Amino acid sequence: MTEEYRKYICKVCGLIYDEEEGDPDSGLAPGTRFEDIPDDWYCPLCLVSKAEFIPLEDLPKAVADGDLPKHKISDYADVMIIGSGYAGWQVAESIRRELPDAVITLITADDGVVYPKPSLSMALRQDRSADDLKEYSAQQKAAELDIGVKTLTRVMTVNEQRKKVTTTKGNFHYDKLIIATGAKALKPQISGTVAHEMVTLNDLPSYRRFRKTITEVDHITIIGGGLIGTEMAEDLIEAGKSVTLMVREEQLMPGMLPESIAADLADKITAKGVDIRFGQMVTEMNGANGNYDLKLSTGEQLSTGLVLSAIGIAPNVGLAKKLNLEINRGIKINDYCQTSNPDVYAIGDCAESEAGVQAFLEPIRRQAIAIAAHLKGEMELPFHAVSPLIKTKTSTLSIMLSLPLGISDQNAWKTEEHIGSDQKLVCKDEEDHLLGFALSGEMVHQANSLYKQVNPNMG
Amino acid sequence: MIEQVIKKSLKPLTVDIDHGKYTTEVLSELGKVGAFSPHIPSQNNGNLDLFKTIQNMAQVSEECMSTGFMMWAHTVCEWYIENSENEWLKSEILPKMVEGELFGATSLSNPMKYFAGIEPLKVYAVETEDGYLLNGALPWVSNIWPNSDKHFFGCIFHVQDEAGNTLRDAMALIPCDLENLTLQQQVEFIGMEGTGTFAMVFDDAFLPKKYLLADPVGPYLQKIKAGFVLLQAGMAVGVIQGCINEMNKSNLSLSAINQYLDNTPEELQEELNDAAEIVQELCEKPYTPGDDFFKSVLEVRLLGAEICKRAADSVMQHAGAKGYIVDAPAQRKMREAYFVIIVTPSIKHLRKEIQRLEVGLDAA
Repeated sequence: MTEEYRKYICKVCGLIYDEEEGDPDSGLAPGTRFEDIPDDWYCPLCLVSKAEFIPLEDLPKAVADGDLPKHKISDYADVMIIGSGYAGWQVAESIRRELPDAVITLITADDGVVYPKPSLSMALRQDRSADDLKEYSAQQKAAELDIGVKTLTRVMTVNEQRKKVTTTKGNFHYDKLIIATGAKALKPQISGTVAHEMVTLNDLPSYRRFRKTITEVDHITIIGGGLIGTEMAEDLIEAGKSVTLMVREEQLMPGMLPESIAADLADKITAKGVDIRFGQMVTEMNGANGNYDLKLSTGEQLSTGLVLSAIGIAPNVGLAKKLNLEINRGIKINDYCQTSNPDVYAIGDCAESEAGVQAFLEPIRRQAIAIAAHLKGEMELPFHAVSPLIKTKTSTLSIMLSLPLGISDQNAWKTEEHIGSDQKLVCKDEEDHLLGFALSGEMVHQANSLYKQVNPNMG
Repeated sequence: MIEQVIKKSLKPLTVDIDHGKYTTEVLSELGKVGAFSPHIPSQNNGNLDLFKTIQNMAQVSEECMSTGFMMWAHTVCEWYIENSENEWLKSEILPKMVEGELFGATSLSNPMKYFAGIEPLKVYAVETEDGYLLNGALPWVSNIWPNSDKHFFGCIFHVQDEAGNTLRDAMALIPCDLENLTLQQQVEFIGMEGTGTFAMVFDDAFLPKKYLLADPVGPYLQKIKAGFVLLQAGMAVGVIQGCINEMNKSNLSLSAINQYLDNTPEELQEELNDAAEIVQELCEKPYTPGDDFFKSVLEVRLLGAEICKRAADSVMQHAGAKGYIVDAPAQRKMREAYFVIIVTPSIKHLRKEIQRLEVGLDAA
């Protein structure tokens, strides 16, 4: 008798590996047992190794915080972390590992719940509620790391000279400060009486509201044809909704996907029923709750139940401004993730390294390690941005790519193979070194080996 | 100017007001010098300057926060009328409030707690052809006076059918001389006694429709709520500044020993200036829709209460025993600052509401 198939979850990003389905994109046939997966296999979504997976049923369930001892937070911290997204918790964990005795305090405006961020876009497809995604409460995680945590506490100002933060729950002093405030989802500026009712999907609370709202509406309009907008369009179609996808540009995922793959993807999701409007924008939003009238740049009217903005994110730099830090798009950081003030570090989506703002999980783990090492006084573990391996969560067409850092020019792509609708495009330098690649369909099997050529030190 | 009114008229009365003397004289004078107009475009050449009204209130509160509190009640009542569509109130009542001839107040503490799921709404009405028949009771409404034809307050109530089922909520301006409305002074407070504070009972009180501010109240409330909370910053900023002033005075003779205390006046001043700057930014667009903006407003209100807590403690510690004497400014400032902490929305109320908005739950 065969043993039942089991599911494993990536502790980092929440990707679920289902033995029954395997992961054909990375060469794992349906039915591949977890223990039979080669050790050099890595999470197709966030690149961590197989060792980071645990059986789904072992995932800790949030317990009532009343059962936990209250961790009194000190009004002085050796290291103070602001923000409780993946970056905030990750850096707390790294620092605790390197500095067992340091007084660490984490302050967060939200409830500090630990959950895998990328899974927000998958959770809908997997029919998981916001509460299903919770792994630990802030108090649980803080107890585990032996740090102090202040939740639902907004840092209002920071005083550079006094090394003090003023919050909605009192003042706290620090020696080293780490800004992990993430990024906010942007909305296009449009007119109309209810433009502010446009929603975004960037955190657990917005996911909670979104999941509730979509049960009440039939048609959803997504603004933005980037990675998130495209994935959401597909997810919502699969959830039985009608979807209009407004794409300002002339292709899906511009600046990221080669045109030929983008065109193939557009055909495939159009065939699924997504109404893609290239070169169009929403200019006006009127009506009321669940019954909106949109005016489009073409002059056309569109009735819709929900408008989701997925036009991108902007790093949260408000506190950095109060500290007079050097800011470009994000908070500028050096190889040790220090900002222009050496006592202040920045990590994650709010930070900008020499490669720009990289709103992916991949750099965060390495940034956290770099910060922890630097705080310990070690200079030999700097952070250097690399181009991440990206797998789009589009089920109609498998796509994996690694973009050459700093290049978004369509002319840089050269098609190497094109079999049926499967494509392989590469980007090489003058000496024929591979800088990046984009694969679709069956070609994605080559992703791992190509990525090792691009980034020999990764994976 | 406002400084002159504070110096010549208010200052000599501050201790009496703290002891329970209610007077409209100072409010009248403040109205005459334009202290109540900047946030009322219809009476201010079309200009909306919410922060200026807050600054005026802060100046008054710095001397006497009881008067600052009455000024808040008055200016927020103007804000209700200005944002309504009731032309009669706007032409007959509002200009006289701005001039300081009529006096405004607000009884929204209970409705705010009701909307936050903290307590039930206590006033209810049955709609008639030309008005509303009001019943119910409210504790502690300030800047009102029994049977006065010069005092009015804003009030939110359930509109019910004959069987007592709630149909919707509405809001109106209520004149204090309304028949079958009774005001009673039932308790004595440790501070803010000279603010004309009464419990009120409606017993089949008939209110003509000309006093209506909004029915239903929902969309109107969205419009006025940020301004309502922001205006309270005038009390916080003023009383904190008053505490800092007293601390500086104490330090003239006690600075050597006071350096052992936690909050210096310099540090509190920095915090106050930073907080006032945030208030000023939010005042630029008080009609910004959406939860994110209102959450920011609640957060800065919470920050104000938190700084008040430190200021209340610090002003006493800086003054030492001299601050513990009856009528010492330090202990009066402490009691006033504590009012900012407990008046609606209190710290606990703010934390509840911010959590709701932050975690993404529906309104109660």
